[in-house]
Amino acid sequence: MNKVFAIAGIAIRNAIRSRVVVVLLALLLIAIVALPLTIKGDGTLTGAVQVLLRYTLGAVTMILSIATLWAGCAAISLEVQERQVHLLVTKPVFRMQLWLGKWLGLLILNTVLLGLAGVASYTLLRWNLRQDDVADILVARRVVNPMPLDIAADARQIFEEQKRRGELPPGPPDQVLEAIQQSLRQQAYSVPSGLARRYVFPVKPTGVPLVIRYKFASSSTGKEQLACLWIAGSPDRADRFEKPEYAAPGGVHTVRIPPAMVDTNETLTVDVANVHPMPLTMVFAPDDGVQLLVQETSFEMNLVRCLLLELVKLAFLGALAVTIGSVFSLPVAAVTAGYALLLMNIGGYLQTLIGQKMIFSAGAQPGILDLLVHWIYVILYWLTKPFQQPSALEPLAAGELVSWTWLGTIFLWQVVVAGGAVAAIGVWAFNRRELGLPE
Amino acid sequence: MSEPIIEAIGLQKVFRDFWRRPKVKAVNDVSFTVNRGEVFGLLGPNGSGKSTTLKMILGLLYPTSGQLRVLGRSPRDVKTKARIGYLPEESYSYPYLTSQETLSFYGMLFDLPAGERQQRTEQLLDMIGLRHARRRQVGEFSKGMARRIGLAQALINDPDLVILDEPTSGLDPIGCRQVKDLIKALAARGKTVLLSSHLLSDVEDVCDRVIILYNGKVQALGTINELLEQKTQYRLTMPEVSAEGLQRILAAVRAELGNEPAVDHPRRDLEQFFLEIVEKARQATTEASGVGPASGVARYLAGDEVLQQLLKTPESPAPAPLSAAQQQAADEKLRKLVEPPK
Repeated sequence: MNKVFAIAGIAIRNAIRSRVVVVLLALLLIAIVALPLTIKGDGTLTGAVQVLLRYTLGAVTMILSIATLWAGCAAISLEVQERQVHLLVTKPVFRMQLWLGKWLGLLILNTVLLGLAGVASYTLLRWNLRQDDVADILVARRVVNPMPLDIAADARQIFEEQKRRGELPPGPPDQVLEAIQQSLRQQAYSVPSGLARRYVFPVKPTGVPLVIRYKFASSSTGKEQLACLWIAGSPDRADRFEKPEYAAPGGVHTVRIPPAMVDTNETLTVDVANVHPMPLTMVFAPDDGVQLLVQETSFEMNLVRCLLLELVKLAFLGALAVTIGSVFSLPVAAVTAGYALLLMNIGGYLQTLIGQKMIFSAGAQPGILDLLVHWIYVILYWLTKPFQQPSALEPLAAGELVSWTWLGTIFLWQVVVAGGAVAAIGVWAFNRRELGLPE
Repeated sequence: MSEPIIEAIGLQKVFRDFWRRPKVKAVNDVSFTVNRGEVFGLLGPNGSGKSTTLKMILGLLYPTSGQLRVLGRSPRDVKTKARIGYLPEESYSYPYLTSQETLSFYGMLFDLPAGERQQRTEQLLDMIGLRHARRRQVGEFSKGMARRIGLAQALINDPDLVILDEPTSGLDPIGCRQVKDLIKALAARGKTVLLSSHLLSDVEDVCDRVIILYNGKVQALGTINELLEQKTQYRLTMPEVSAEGLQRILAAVRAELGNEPAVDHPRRDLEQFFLEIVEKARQATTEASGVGPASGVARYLAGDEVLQQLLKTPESPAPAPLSAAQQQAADEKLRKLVEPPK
């Protein structure tokens, strides 16, 4: 392992003394300090946090990703080109150690640079918001979704009941069942005026205030605020918490719930009643219409997890780049790595292309070329799917928890599984490569 | 029977193009053995296959066919590499590292403990005369200084087999002499040296055996004496004799051969002469900007104290140089003496 650290140390020293690190630090500083000055937020504190965190740290990770790809490609290919590798591989060093040393050097540099960028962003954020109350914004809350409704079972029950009574509407049975399900779903997430809807969240008593986050659409096309009443706590309790609200459709709203409202059976019951005087219906989105936010850890800890998650992604990019650089010359490696990065970032576009089965044929049936291209897109999509992870910066800026589970999953997949596979391919190809071939 | 350190049997290397079609047969059926303690010269003009052969021995190229064993193993085995020191033709060191860091880094690749690494680094820097430049980055060095660092890194592990590719290229005569002394010292300790050079006089000075390659094939292989000795001629070197004595000797030779023998004063080696001049100038100067005074062979490379002493003692004391007038008078005297009788 000493040899791996020695090789990593040389890579770091070279990067520092060739002023690569200084240039990168300058670029990162520009991104952190200058970028917020050029982007206008929406005027709210939440918007300011979004700009100061999402955009600046987004720019930082982008700069580091590109630098990692370039440096990773150059790590071995440049040494092969300038023949410094001749002195390395004629020493008692396994090529795997050489590969690992180069990768580790990149990882250490990325850790330091990302850490400095994180500290700088955080300091700037605190400084800019020093006179504002950000206790409710700079948080790290776990998102808890309500217990799912068993619409399928309910629909089946209604279907069987109607069938027994001979009241089934005409049409194929599966379409009738689907129509019943659709109708139930609409009812479940819609709250007409004068009615209420109940959500039950699985949550352990924590002692910290809980927050209900909700967003809805109105049956009216206007932006008129709707009156609603939020009631928390089990129905059999005398001390249920009630909070009347006026909320505009389309926006994101929050209601603070006292922690004591969590029941002994580790659930929180929340009713939302549409008390608007006009006959308007509140329609909540099935996925994130109503969610419970539970304070999990500090914002600072969340920032650290977010940066670790970005570091994990950089670690994979580094492994990919070092492998490509150990197989190809620098120009070829750089182009290949750039193409790989592009593929990892166009997952949505690939999905659209997969949906369009016919690209070349004008007829009703896809031609051979269409099928071929379609399958190429499918393979590319599935190859790059594991790397098309959403950025952790979004939940960080929104005050949502970046969980250890998420971080662990990404680490396991991107570093251990995918990174390991890429490393194995890189070492295998590097072992086969004759480094003394004439130019 | 001496232990073979390098064994090449029917070695062949074919370079192929992108489509794997054979392009050049760089090495063609080359067989040779290098034994422990030998200084072995690999000679040949450009494109003769000597670099390819060296690279195969170092594991930088893989033979197309034939057998190659280095120190009893495959050249690609890391255990083999742990016992090899390699000086490449060019300086392939990291330009941003200082000379001390460079040596320490390569020492780490051999798993040398920190204390020993530091000790060897200091001794090697003394040996190559770069102690004063130990904190300067290698990228700032002249070619000769970079070459010296290359040589030092090749010796950091006290190797059993030292492979030197053009070791005196870019070095001044002092450096050349030092490298040759070092090669002799290494051989005296039972180390094996494989040397590739275009400077045939250097090869002749230090090599026990040589192989000459041309067009990828072995053209000649043997000891220096076997290859260079002209067995049909003799050379007689003797101390100064009286005019009458020399006349008598020449008369006897003329009577025996029936023709005139070639007689002249033996000349001193230009390298030796140069070294003496530089040494005098160095003693008169207090500061050096380039390569400083070298300390002979590093202690750990020279082995025991007795060997150190041997290395410090010149093989034969150099005669005191004559003035120009003295030289002219001596030449005139000799011309008269060797004039055949009329």
